[in-house]
Amino acid sequence: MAGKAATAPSTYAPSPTQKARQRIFKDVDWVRPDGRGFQQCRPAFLKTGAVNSASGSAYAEFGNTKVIVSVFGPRESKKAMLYSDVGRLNCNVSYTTFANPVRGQGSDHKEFSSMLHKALEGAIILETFPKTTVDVFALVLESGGSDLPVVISCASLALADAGIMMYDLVTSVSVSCLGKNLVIDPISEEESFQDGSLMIACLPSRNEVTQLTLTGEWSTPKIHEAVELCLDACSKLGEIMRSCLKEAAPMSKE
Amino acid sequence: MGSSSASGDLEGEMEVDAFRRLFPLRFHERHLLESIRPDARPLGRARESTVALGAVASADGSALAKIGHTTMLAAIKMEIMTPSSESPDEGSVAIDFHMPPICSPFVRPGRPAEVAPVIAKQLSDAISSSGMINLKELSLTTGKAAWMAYLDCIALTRHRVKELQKILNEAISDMEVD
Repeated sequence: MAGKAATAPSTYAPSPTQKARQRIFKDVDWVRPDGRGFQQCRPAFLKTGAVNSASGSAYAEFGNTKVIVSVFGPRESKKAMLYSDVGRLNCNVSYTTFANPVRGQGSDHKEFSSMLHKALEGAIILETFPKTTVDVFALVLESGGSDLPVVISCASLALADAGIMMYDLVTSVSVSCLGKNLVIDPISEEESFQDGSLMIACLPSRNEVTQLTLTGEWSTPKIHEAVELCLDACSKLGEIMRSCLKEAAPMSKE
Repeated sequence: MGSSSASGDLEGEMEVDAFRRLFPLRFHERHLLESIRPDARPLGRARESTVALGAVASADGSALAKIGHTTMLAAIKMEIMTPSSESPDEGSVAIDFHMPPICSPFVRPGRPAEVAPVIAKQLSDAISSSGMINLKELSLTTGKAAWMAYLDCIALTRHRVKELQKILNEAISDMEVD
């Protein structure tokens, strides 16, 4: 009844599927749960124009990670903002309550909004829309691992769909370090066991990196190897995003 | 002003759009005189609708419905709760409706849309009064444990919301309870 919802009863999620896995992959080779090779990314499904009330939008599905991004703008900045002769970028990343296997939001997702901002602001030509703001809103429908890279790639696709001028598409890929192995595009299970992670957001055609995030334990040669892996995957993802945009373009010309 | 849109296709297009925004009443009246709607549908025809089940794998049951351009996603997550003392053999369903900032240019993050709680209440009334869910089925052990189904509906595009009833049926039927 409505009264019960107002008092918010305490509930817990039964977890019959959680098994305690031992960290044995230091000695034995880790086999990825979905059968991919260590350097194989998940197949990507990308689609622009998902939301028609937005200036531009995109939907991305990388395995079980599903993200929708809408771009609104350039539109009027809030009245409280001072005059600015370059445009402003406003980013927000939010999760649905059912995105994680356990209901309720994760606590580290609040910084995703500012991380998305940092990844995108290097690519957008802010001088083309002075005094106005471009809003980028991302909603993660299902979190299957490697969420922020998917959000970044989807956001740059949505920005391209909205016609915001950019130097290049921003593609992003992350790599997890599991013992002695480097696995690319980790799923949530792999992320929970990782010793370290590296995420790169780059402009593939210009060969420039807009954001690099490194966490955990890394040795220098491993970092070099991981960066090479990421940049290679980013350029391939860039090709896929371009072909997605090209397919969408002739349909809108009619 | 925009009343004669006979000159040139592109020019005609732009005038129609301006006419629609400046004089919405006359715009719609002119269509209704011909018994037709702005998107060329006759009055009695509904838009194309599609429903897809199991859209979100992390939820216990989910459904995505599209009617025309309006897209709504509903998902159910089951958790265990202690039933109340008034109804110890019933579980419960908590219905929530969100309009995230992606769906409309008027919704800002941190400031939920005003219509959202209204629609949530409409939905929960519709579900409880229609009796489509037998709450007794959600009970596990009388008085000790019962299922609480969190039904969250997300609007993915802005337009109106009658479509939700349809997807709710689908989301609930997609759900599997042991």
